[in-house]
Amino acid sequence: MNTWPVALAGSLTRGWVRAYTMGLPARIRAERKEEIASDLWEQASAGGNEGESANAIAAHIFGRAVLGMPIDVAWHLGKLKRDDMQLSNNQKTIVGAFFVLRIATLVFGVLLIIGGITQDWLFNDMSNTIMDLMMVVFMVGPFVAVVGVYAWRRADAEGRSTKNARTLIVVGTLGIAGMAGFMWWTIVGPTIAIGIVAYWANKIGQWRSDPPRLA
Amino acid sequence: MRRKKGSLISVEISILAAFLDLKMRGIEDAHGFLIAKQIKDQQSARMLTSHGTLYKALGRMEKAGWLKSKWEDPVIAAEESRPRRRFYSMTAEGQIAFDGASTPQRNARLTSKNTTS
Repeated sequence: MNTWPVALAGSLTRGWVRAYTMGLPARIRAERKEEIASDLWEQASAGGNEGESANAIAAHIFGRAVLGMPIDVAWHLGKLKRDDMQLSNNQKTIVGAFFVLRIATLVFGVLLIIGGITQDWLFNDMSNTIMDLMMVVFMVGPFVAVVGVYAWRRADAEGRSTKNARTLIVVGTLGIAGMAGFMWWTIVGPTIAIGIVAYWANKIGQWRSDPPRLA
Repeated sequence: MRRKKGSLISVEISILAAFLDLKMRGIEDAHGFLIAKQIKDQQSARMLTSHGTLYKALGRMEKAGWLKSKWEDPVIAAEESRPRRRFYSMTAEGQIAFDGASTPQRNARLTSKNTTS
């Protein structure tokens, strides 16, 4: 069974797993990804054998992922509490808050996109849809730029090429510039936000690659 | 609220009950999806347990010593062109914890088993 609804639900679920395991130790992250990948394969396979439609299987997979999201976030935060993260309590609080903020932004952004586009389709207003998509591209700009900063730091530390990271920063900056061109007054908030987020992303990256000694 | 050490919550009782039923069918080791499916069948539920709930509970139960897990040989998975499975099995401590549980879920499960047998 490999019809597109099942493949899409599987991809979304795997994307979610990548998002909520980000920043955890490599072994824990790899195990969770592999376990969910196995579960997805088994569910698709069993559903196919039982004659379930591709849409029903996809809905079940997606439903299981969505219903488990709050628990996944709690699981990630629980892992931060463990001593093997080698962080002080204050640092764990900041890392945890940063993670919750990132997940909330992701979920809110996806809901905003789905809600906005669905509304335009329902009212058959395609010009609004194009405008919405342009806004999404612009709004994603700051996020892409932050990811670029993080990727640059990581590539630099590991001695890899920083070309992809620099591309992300350029694309993100273009998004920000587009937003500035259309609605210049909206640039102030994201600019401050990008500064704060980039600072903490860098700080957290430093803690994780070189944990400070605990007393 | 922190729960009492050694006590079981609903999802844990369901998982241990699923292992007992699988054991009666001759299955000692079960991967996550099989456990979720067994719970769904036992409870006649419409949906499988969510990924988050299931795998968080399995991890917690393994840490408590009620379950143990092992990863499948990657060669077998590769031969069958599928991801590697993680097999869980119930330990003697898990059996003791289940026997010692006195929650409505366990009682309900025992009642339903008596009714069907």
